[in-house]
Amino acid sequence: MLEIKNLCVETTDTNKKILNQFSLSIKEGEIHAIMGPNGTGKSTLSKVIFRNQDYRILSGSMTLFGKDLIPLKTCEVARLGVFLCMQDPLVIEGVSNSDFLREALYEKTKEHVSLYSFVKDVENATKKLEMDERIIHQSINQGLSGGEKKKSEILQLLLLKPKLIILDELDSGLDVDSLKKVCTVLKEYLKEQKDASVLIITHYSRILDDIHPDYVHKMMDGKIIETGDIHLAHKIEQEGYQVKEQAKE
Amino acid sequence: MNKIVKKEKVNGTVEKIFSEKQPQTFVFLSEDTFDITLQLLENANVTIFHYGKNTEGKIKIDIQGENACINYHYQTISIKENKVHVEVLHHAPHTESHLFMHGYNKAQQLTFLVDVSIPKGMKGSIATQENQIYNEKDAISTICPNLYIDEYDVSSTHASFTGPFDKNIEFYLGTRGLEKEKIQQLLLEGFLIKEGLSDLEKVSFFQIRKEG
Repeated sequence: MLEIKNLCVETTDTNKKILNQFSLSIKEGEIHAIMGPNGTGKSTLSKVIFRNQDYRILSGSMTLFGKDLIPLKTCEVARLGVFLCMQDPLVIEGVSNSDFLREALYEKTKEHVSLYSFVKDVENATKKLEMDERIIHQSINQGLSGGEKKKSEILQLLLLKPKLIILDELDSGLDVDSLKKVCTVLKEYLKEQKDASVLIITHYSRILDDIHPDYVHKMMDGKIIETGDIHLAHKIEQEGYQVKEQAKE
Repeated sequence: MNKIVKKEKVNGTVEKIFSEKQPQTFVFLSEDTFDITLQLLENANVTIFHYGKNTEGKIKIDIQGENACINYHYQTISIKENKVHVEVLHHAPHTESHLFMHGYNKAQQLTFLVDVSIPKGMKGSIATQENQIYNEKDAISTICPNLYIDEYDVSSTHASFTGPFDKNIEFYLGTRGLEKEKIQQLLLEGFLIKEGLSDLEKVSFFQIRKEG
């Protein structure tokens, strides 16, 4: 599904190298987790996949379903079925969830979504997430707490039905109960969409105990330095990311 | 939400006096230059949504009666050199003015000159103003927010922004599959038409704070 090979990326304004020979392969139905210290390039990776123009690709390749992602625009990547659950979702005053989601669904299918089926889908999704369904008429993320914003992101995900889900620190801002609820909803989604894959970016193993990843990657200085299973996540949680410093000594 | 009392075209010189104690909402549409004078008498509570299309002019809001309140929203799309001057005079204590000036400057030069005056003795008054102009690449926008306050017992805020749409917002909506043109359309609709409703919530916040 997603193949990233030897990707080198720098920021367009300061030319700071963020990803360095980064490689990752995600197959259909797989769940991957990336853990790493602050500033190591985890969130940058998600933005680079979505072709954010703040980052320049220097070398390497990046394909999704065999299609080269590098020449694509952000919206074109999204329409291939990729969804980014943002670390800090933005507030957009004046643009309602309903307006933009119906547009997004139209862009995805090129068919106008009937109001009845849209309302039904919203009802089902908000019920699953234990959210007030009136949120659909509110401006995007306006007046929501950090946790509610994350739930709102998952609401969008359920309506847009992506094939590759990138969760960028979903667990930050969510309390224990809300995280469990969101993870349950995500697992149900993955049961229904068996081919869907997930890339979880996180600092903590807590979310990985709920959504069991097939692979856990440890990322340092812009590349993956170790791959394992959930035990690697627990090891990182216990020991931190000190391996690099120890190796230097 | 207040019921819209009247929708009308407002061009040229217009004078209006408001004395109704019940909250009233008006929609003004201007397609030409305007020179509007509004007077608010005691307890008048008026909300105005004023839409302009490439217009310029002056609006003077004279708050003459105690406990009177004006919520004034001006939304415009500008493609030539336009200047809009808003002048609010608090001529009675415990009066409120809340101004929301939104412009989309597609070309040339757009100026918002926003003057609010609270003279001595007009205690317990509240004056807020929020001015925003979104610019196309080569357009030049200027906002002059002026607050003349000669009384200690008042509450006042102002905020101004000129510049392009936030590229982080464009990226966010892009990750949901929307093209740049569609994103700009949604943002403009929200900014020029729908944001007024949330602006009214901000006014409620100040009113609650005043009561508290």
